[in-house]
Amino acid sequence: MPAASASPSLLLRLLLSAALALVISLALVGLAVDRGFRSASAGALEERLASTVFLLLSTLDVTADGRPLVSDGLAEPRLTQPGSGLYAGVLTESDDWQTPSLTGVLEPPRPVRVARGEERFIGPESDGRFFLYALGLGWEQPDGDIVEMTLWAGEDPERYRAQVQAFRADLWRWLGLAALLLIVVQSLILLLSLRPLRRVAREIGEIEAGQRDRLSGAYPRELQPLTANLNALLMSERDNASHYRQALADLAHALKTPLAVMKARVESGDSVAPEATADELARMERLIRRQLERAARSTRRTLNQPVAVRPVLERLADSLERLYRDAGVVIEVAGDERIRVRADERDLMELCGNLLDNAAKYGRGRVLAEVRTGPAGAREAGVEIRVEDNGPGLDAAAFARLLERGARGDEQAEGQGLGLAIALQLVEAYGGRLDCEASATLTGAAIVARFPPR
Amino acid sequence: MRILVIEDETELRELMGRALKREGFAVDLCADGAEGLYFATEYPVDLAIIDLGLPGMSGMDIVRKLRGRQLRYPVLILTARSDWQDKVEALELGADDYVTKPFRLEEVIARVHALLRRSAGHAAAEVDLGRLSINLSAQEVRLDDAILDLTGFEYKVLAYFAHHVDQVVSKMELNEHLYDEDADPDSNVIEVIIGRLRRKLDPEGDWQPIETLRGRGYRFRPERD
Repeated sequence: MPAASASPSLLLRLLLSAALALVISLALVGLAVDRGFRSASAGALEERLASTVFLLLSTLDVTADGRPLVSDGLAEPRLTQPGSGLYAGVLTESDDWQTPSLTGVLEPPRPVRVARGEERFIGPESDGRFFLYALGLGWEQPDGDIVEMTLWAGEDPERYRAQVQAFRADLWRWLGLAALLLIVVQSLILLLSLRPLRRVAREIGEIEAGQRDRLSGAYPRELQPLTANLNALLMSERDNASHYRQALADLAHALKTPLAVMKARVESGDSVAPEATADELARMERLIRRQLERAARSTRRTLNQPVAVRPVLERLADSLERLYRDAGVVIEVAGDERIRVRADERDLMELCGNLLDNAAKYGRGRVLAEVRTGPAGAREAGVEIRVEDNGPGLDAAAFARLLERGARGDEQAEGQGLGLAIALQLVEAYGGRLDCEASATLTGAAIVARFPPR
Repeated sequence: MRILVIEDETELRELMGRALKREGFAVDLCADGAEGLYFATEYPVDLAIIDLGLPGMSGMDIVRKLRGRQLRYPVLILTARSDWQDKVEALELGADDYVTKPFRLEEVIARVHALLRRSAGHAAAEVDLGRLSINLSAQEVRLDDAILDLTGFEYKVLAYFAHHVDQVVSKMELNEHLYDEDADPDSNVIEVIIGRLRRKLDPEGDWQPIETLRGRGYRFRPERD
């Protein structure tokens, strides 16, 4: 057999596709978590800066000339520690005030003024050097004047960035680890699940090498139809091969006798009567026909499509009524049209044709052909094809004798017995059997072909 | 009666032709499917014997085509396969009977007689026509229970009449159905034979089973009301 170009193994395909799906989904999860973390951090930052502004506001006073005055002892120590990264201040029209933490900072934040009642937040989305929160308000003096001011708080983004980076590093490390673990587990599962398939392949190899004759052992339920059918196919192949060999040997052996007779006659130099040659020829012809038919019929049949039986019976009934028109044979067909048999249609027609032909020939003009499912109660019933006639009937011994003579190809059994023997071979090739019963409706013989459930 | 044989195996075809002629049939022989179909549809055939495996066109196709053209004469199929599937297919297409190869010529002849008889509406080989009875298998004719001595051609004409009782049969039709394709009969021969047949069937002249219809031909009416 020429090797087909190899396509990637099932294991490789499954592994690659599962790993790809896993990596993509974990990456998406990572991105979503990262985004969530950043947005939560920005929210927390804004809240922190806003509370710093309100802390400042709680200690704020304004002098009569409108300058901001912040009492000592701010509750947040980072505001008093120079270069701490957290800064705040107050902007008025006349003066600015800043927290001691800005002392010595070379590039301090540049807060913007905000109108009274407004607030502004410059967060990580902007590319400013500082995160800033600013609140605009008006301070009412005892004389009724309003001092416009902006309170602000700012933070060095370095701290935030470090936090995010640390979180990211952690996140991706754990996700990577999870992916690795999942891929390993998945591979193990796949290897385990595909093991029976590898076993099938190995056992088939061993069958080819002649080391075993069938697939053995318990296979998972999903594979059992495959292995059972393979075993059936192997069996029938082996059976068929031996049947054909046997048939050829039988034929060769059987033909040698008449050939020898004819050869001897020719070599004897005596004049040979044409009738004698004709007899030998007829004998050879019969032998060839019988052996060919037997070889073809006794092969085991597997993996057939189901065929509806009733249409086959109806076609045969029409044809036989035509053939036996002079005898006025009437063939009645009964049974459910949906009943099917797993058999080759040609075989089914041959089987039913022989049974119906016998009934038409040896009955007294009435034939009933019926298909029905086998005995009730069985989980999956087989199929019965009954052919009944109104002839003299057939007892068990006579039936067995006819079958025996038919199988032997006995001259006297050319008619009924041969047809029955063919029918028996066919139904046996499908694991069924042929029975002879008494017809209840037509009082003659009822020949029943029984197919087993499948 | 005129029989068409379509069979590509030369020896078998010739043998069948000779055997059928011995039985008194006019026979046309064909070796090829397409030619066979031409004969089957264009010639006045009473029965066709058709082999299924033919060069040019299969036997099944010939049967299908001639039934499609409303030609209803009996068809006997010769087949090398004896499966019921093949038999049923041939019968469903419009064949009337089949013989499986290899066969004995006697069997073919017997089937031909049976089919012709059946197509004329006679169920048995013995055809009872009042004072006259004809056994189509034994080719024996009895008049008032006494065997009637007829020549081969007289029997052919009478048998044709027996298959066409009460029908008008022209002289041309008799010529076509009783002579081979290549025969060139003198039209007077038919008249002479009919005259002789009349004298043998009705020596007293009080029965007159064969009527002459001027310009149209003859009508065989053995049982007049």
